[in-house]
Amino acid sequence: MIRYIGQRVLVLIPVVWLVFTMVFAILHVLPGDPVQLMLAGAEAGLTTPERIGQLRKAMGLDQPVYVQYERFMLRALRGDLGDSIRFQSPVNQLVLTAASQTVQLSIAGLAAALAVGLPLGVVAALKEHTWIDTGAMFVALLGVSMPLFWLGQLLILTIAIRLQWLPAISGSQPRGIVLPAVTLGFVAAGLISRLMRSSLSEVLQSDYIRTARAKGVRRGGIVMRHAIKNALIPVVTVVGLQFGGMLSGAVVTETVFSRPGLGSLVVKGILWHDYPLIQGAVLFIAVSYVLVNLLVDLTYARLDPRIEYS
Amino acid sequence: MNALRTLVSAIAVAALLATGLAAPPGTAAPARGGHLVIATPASSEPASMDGQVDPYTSTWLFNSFVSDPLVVLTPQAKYVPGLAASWSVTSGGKVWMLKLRPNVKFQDGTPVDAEAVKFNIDRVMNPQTHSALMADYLGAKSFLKGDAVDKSTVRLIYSAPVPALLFGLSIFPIWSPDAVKKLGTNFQQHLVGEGAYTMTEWIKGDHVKFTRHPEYSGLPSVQGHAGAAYLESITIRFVGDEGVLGQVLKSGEVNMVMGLPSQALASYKNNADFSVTAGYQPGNGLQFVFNTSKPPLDNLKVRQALRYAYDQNKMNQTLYDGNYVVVKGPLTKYSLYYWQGAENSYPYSVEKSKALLDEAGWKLNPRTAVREKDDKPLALTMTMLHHKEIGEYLAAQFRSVGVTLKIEIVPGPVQLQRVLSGDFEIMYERLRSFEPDVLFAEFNSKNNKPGGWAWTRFQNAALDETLQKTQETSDPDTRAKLFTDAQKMITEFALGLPTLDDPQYFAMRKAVKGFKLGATGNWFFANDMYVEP
Repeated sequence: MIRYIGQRVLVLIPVVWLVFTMVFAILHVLPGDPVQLMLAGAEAGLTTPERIGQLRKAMGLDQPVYVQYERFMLRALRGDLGDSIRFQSPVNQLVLTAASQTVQLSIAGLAAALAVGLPLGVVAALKEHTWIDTGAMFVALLGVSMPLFWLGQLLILTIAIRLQWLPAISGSQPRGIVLPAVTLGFVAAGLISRLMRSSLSEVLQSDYIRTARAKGVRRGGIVMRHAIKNALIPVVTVVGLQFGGMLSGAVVTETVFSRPGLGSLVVKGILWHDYPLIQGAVLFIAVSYVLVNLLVDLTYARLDPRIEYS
Repeated sequence: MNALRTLVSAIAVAALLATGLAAPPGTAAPARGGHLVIATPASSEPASMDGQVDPYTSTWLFNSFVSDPLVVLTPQAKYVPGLAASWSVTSGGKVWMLKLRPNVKFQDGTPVDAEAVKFNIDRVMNPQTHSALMADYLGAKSFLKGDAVDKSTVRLIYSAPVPALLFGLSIFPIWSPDAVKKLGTNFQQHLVGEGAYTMTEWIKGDHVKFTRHPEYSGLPSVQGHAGAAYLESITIRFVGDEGVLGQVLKSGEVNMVMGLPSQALASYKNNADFSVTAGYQPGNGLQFVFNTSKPPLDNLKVRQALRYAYDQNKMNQTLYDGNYVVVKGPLTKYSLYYWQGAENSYPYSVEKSKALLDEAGWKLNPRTAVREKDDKPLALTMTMLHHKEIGEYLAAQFRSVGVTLKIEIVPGPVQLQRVLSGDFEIMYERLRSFEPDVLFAEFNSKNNKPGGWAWTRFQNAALDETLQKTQETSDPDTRAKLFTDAQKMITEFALGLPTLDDPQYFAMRKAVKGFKLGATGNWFFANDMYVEP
C-alpha cells in the first residue's frame, strides 16, 4: 500500500510540470498585455509608451518567452511562485490564504451534502416506488436543478436579512460558513442522493443480499453491514469529484456570500492576465485534484476488501 | 469663471445637505467612539492598498484614513493646507515649493519632514514601484527632480508646467520611509502614514480594518475638533453580490453602505431608521464613445443623427426613477469648467435624426425597417461593462430611426484589449477626475496609442491644439476658456453618446454621525465621524 501511495505521489511530478507548462503556454498565447491592463485599469491616465516599456522591463515581461519560462521554472523548483503582477504580493501567500478559505468551505459543503444526500438516498432506496421515494427524489431533483446563486440569495433574504439568525456577508468568520456550506451542499446532496438510491437499490437485488435474507439476517443488519458499504463505491467516486469541483468551482457561492476564495482569485487572475497568480492557483488545484483522487482510490480498498493495491 | 462658481455652489449645497442629513441641529456634543462597519462592492477592493501603486479612487479613499495629503481639496472645491502648510509656484509653473507643517510624526514615530516627502516622490517616480497612475498625476512626464531644501521645505522641479499637480497632491499618500524600507513588498498590507487611523488588518476578498491612532495630531483644515479622530475603528467589508449589498444594512451587520445599488434606494428613502446621501461625481458620467476611424461612424452626420435619436430624460425616468443625472456633454455638471451650453445640444428629435441619416445616404428598407447603404444594413455594436439596461434603451430608441444596435457586455480587461486592437464601434469609456484634464487624455489624438485614452481615434487640428494648450498653462481663467472651447468642439463633432451619471449612494443608520461629502462626490475624511451608541 505504501509503495502504491509513493508511486502515486511520484506521478505528481510530471502532472505538475505539465500543468505549469500548459498554463504558461496558454497564457502567453492569449492576446493582451498585463502591463497595459494594469495601467488602463486606472480611472484616468496619461500613460506614455515609455512608461509602459519601463514597467514591462521592471516586471521582466520584456524578456523572450523561453527566458521567462526558464526563470519561472527555476523559481518554482525553489518553492517560489513569484509575485502577483496585480496584487504586488507573493503568490504563495495569496494562494494559500484563499485556498484555506476554499478548503474550509468545500469540507463544510461536502459535510452538508453527505449529511443530507446519503440518508435521503438510503431512505428512497429502501422505500422504492412509494411516496417517500417520490418525495426524497423530488428534493434531490430540486437540489440538482437549483442554481447556486438563486438558492444562496434565497437563504440570505430569509435566514440572514429577515430572521437575522446568521450573517449575510460570510467573510472569514466561523458562523459565516453555515449558509454558503448549506448552499453548496444542497446542490451536491441532490446528486449524491440520486446516486445512492440507484446504487443501493441495485445492491439490494444482489445474490449475496438474497442469501443473507434467506439465512434470516435482519433487514437492518443487511442494509447497514452489507448493502451500504458496497453501494458507497460509486458514491465515493462522485464525492471525490464533487470535492475537487468545489475547490475550483465554488466561485458563485463565494461571490454571493462575499467569501474570499480560490475560485474568485483565479477569475481575477485570468481577467488581469496575472500570469504568476494563475499558475500558482492552477497548480494548487491540480495537485489537490490528484491527491483527492488518490484518497478516493484508497477509500475503495477500505470499503471493498476485494480491491487491493500493490 | 461662471462654471467654477456653479460647480462650487452645487458642491457646497450637496455638502450642506449631506452634513445636514447626518448631523441634525441640536444634537449633543459628539461622543468619542463607535465602530463604523461599511459594506461596499467587492469590485472596489483595491488590488494593492498602496495608493502610490494602485490607481483607484477606493484605494485613495482608504489611504486617506492612514495618511493625510500634502494639500486638501475641500468640499467647497478649494485647495487648502494639509501636511504642507503653504506652497508657491515659480518659473511659469515649473518649480513648486512646499513648506511642511512642523512637528508632525508618522505612526511609527519618525518625522514627516522634507526628506520623507522627497522619498515618497522619488518612490512614485521609480518604475520599480509600478505606480500605475499616481506618477502621472504628479507630473512624471516632465519631472526632473525633488529636493529637500531644508528640514521642512521640498522643491519639485519640472521641465513643463503641471497644471493639475495640486489635485495630484491632494490624493497622494505620504508613507513613512522607514516602514516602506523595512516592510518591502509587504508594506501594502501594513500601511504606515501619519493619519487618523492605523491599518490593522486586511483579509483580501473579505475586509480591511482601520483602528484609531491615539497620538494623531489632527488636521486643522479638515477636522472640527482637535486631536485624535472620534471613531474607534472603521471596517470595510467587501460584498460580492449587488442584491446582498442592497439589503445588508437592514440586517444590522453593517451601519453604512457605500455604493448602494440604485435599485435598493426605494427601500431606504423615507425610512426613519436610515439616511441616504448621493455623491455626484465629476468626470464623464456613463459615456459611450464612437470609433470614428471606421464606417459608418467616420461620418459626422451619422454620429449626429445618433445623438438626436435618444431621450435622456425619459431614459432616466424609465430606468432609474429619475435618480440618475442627465449628461449632455463630455463632462458631468459637477466637473470643473463645465460648459452649460451642452445642455441645449442635440434635443431629442426623431425627425432630425432621420433627416441626417437620409443625407448620409442611409435609406430605410421598408421591408426590414432598417436603413441600408450599398446593400449593407446600418447595424452597430455597443460594447459595455455594466448598465446593460442603458444599452437596451438606446437600442429601442435607435430602432425607431432605422438603426440596429447590438449590445455586448464584456469584462474590463476584454474591453481594453478590444480598444487596443480597434475592434469596436461604440465603447463605454468613463474617466473620473476633479480636474477636467481627462478631456485632454480622451480627445487629444496624441493619446491614441497603447495605454492612451483617445479611444475615438478622432483627429482634428483645432481640437488637438485647444486641448494641448490646457496642458501648458496653470492659469484658471485660461484653462476655463480652453476647456469650454474643447467641450463645444467635442459636442459639435459628436464623438460619443453621453447618457447619464450614476451618483454614488451612501446609506447609513441614523446613529452614524458626521459624514461629509468631498468635492469629488466621495466622502471627505472620517476624522469627525462617530457612531452613537
